[in-house]
Amino acid sequence: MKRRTFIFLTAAGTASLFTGSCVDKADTLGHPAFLFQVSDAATIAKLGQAYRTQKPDEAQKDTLIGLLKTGIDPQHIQAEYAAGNTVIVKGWVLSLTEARQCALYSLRPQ
Amino acid sequence: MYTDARTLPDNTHIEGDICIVGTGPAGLSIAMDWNNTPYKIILLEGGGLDYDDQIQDLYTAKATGQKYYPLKSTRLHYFGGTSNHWSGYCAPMDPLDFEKRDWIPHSGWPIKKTDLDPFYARAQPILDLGPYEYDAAYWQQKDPALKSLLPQNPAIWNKVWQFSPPTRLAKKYGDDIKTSKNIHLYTYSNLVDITANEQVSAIKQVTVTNFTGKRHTVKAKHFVLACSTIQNARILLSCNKQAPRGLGNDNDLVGRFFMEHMQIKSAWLYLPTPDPLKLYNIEPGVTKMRCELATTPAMQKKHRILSGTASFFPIGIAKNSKSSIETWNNDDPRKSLENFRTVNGAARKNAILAPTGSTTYMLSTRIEQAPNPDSRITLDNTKDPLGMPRSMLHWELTPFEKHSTRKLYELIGQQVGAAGVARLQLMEHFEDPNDNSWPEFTSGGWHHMGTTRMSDDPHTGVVDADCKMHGIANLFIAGASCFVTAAAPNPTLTIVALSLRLSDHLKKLQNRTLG
Repeated sequence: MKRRTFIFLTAAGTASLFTGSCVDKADTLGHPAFLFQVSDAATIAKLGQAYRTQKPDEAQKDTLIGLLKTGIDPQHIQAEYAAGNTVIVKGWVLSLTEARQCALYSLRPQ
Repeated sequence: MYTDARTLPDNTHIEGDICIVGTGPAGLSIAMDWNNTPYKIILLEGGGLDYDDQIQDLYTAKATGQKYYPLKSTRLHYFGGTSNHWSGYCAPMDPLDFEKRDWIPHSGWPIKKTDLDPFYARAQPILDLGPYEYDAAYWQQKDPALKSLLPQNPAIWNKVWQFSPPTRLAKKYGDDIKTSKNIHLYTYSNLVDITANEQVSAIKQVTVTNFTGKRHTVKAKHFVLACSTIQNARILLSCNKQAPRGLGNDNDLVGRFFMEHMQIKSAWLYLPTPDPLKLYNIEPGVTKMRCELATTPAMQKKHRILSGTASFFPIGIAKNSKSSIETWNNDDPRKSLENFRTVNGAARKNAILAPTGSTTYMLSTRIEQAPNPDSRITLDNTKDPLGMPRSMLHWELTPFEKHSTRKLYELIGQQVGAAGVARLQLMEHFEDPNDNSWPEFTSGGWHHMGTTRMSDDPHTGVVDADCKMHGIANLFIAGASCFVTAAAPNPTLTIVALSLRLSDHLKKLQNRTLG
């Protein structure tokens, strides 16, 4: 794929995800609420980038949105921690859902 | 009674029922347990009543392997031993620490925690601690502000530490010993030789000397070597005129399995709102107890990890603190202590700590070292001015310690997440699971253990469950050199408990051999 075509398609894809109901969905799903209480947006974006590098098969927005649809509420996340369903990203011990939320957050237009 | 051995005529012969070599927490605990009895206790101290740099220099030794403190500075060579500068942290080992753990080679004591419990209880007042209560709930009942960070869970629990003032044992018991009718303290009595019978099955006498060049001999029915982990090994290895590999070293175990605690800053804990975390914090000189987060036995078994704990430092203190190995860097223990206190005292003093607490805490690890035969004390080719070969330390760690530390924080991270109270971030040096190296600022706890380890089998241990040296009827060893595994707690409480247990054993023997 030519570089110009790639940029166009990427930009179009990003725009389509963050328009209409997709904007709301991505904003909601890509917002790790507890992490925002103990950290900042830049750190969360870096965690998200790192997670996407660690898990290339979860690097795409639509994949992440699909995975996060199963639940992002605090009880779900706490249950993940309790079950040991966690991943270490840049040293942070994160529930899988939180890590995916960070990943989705990192794909927001900056 | 007290005698400076430098003032005795050369070649003085001293005789008693029990000869205790060393006046640190192990030796003094045993000696005081025999005060006001009809038995004559000879208590030998290599140094004087106060610090003497010429004597302290006898501890100078080389170290290889993992970076370590200047060895001259880590133990004190005068009356009271290292109790003259210890910091007073006390906790008993846990039942699992004594058990054979199939995932940890060379683990398993020949005694159980329940064997030591009565002696732990007796050790508490010696070290001026509170009641023998190491259940957090006991203390929380007294002070409701001591709130647990975590609810009860299967992975992480609150392990209690109590704080000694810290007790300086020479100050506490010095007058009692000097005025005792049956304890005879001889200072400036450095043990330089041990003479056994022809079969090397019993000790006949020990020889002591000092810088005057005078040599004296001490005969007793029982001898207790309580000179600290490095010195105990050094003495046994040096005394090789009758046992070529050193006393008690037929199976090449003396000096091996040297263990320390790794102490290292490890993770950050982030809370959404400030919390003083009183249960986990320490105010030097004020706090009587605190908790550290520890892995439960079930998790140690499940994940096949070592025992370790995490302690808390508010970021205000943590950001200005330096690791122990960076500040305890002078050969002279007085200068190292001063530097250590200055740097960390200033960090605490200058920290702006809100009464409501902090939102960010640094977590620092204390974790046991896996027993490792290649981590060891040997003899150097050089001798000290009294003619004793100097010791050498090779401190060697394994990937096990790093993996266990990382897992400890993963478990804590999971539990704070499960409780919805915080998030945890491992520091950079723990991020890579394939990196088994330890950074330069990794510190030891000044806790030397394991060089005359305990076992029922002479092929796997130097002393038996009564701390008697295998194959020698009347030579006992006291102190952390007898530890089989290091566990997570600072060792002094266990040293004193184990010494009191040895003392009781000697009392049982008195009926047969002393009485």
